[in-house]
Amino acid sequence: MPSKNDLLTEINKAFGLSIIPGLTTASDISDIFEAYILSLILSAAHIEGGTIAYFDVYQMIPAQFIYRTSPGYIFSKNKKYCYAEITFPGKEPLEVHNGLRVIGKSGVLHECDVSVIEQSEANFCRTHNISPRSYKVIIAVECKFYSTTLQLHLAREFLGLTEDISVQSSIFVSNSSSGNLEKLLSGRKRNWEHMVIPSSHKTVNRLRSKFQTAFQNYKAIY
Amino acid sequence: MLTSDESEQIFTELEKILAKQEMSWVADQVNEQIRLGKPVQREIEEKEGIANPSNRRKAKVTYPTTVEYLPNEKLDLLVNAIKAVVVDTALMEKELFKFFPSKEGQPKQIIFCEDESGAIAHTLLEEEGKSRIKNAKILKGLLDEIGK
Repeated sequence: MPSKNDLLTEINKAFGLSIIPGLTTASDISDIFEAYILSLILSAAHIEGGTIAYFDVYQMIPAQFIYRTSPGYIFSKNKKYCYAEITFPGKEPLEVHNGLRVIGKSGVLHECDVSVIEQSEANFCRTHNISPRSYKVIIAVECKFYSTTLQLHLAREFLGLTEDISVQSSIFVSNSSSGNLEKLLSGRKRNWEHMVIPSSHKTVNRLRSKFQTAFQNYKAIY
Repeated sequence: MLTSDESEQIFTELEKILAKQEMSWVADQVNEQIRLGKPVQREIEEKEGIANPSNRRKAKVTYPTTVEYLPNEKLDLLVNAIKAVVVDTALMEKELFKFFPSKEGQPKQIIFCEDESGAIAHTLLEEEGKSRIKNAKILKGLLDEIGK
């Protein structure tokens, strides 16, 4: 049996090989979590019979996926930011974006970590250099990656956000959990999912199922 | 089972490993949780019917409160935090490449750029991710072992 010192030496070695060099800040890790949630939305769309295609801001098929790390504008052409297009047969296509600013009921711009928007709205916004209106957003996901228990202020912020946006399905998603936060969000009838990590099939499937329901409703209504 | 001294010693060593990899923020989040304390529910007997002694009875009321984390619980928090930021994210990275595209014959990569400046923050390459997952799984095994 190895001694604790031997184990620490091995941990030190394995740690260095397990992380992405230059990708070590809390914000960097959150970017990966957001991208992971975006991929779950795409998998839900795929299950619901959607066809997925990828485009950049110039509506060209990208060679690689360029992902926005800070909140930005749908019309921004600072880089060839990419988005996914979802098409359900006979329905208007949708677009999946990350880090977009959307206009709330008050006229204030809010950031949506991951969002699914009607394509007609997205095209209109790109043409006129404006941000999407929140009522044209089908799904908005607030992503929180924490290495520890979530603090209650995150729920209060989410409640504030959802007061001002008219998104059809807003979900608070985290890799972590917190009894108090979940109690508050449930009490205020907000949608949330916790412990969303690849090894937790139950929560991942439950979240994916929520996205599927949002797509099912979209297909029924539009 | 580790003694309190051993738990504290390993906690300090893991903090040093995090600092070396410029990931002290993980220990900072854990230390903040430790500072806030461990949430517990405390049952307290409350006397009722004081105004009418013949009707007096005791009722149990539950109050949310916090207690201090024990050294082995503190170590668990740090070990789990490292697993979350290293092991879980390596697995997430693997999932990403199932969906994001690449042109035929080109390596699959995802580029993260800041919107304001357009500067590349970081790039994920599918091939590098595969070896990272292998090492992350080794790390998970070692972290499971050290906490015992």
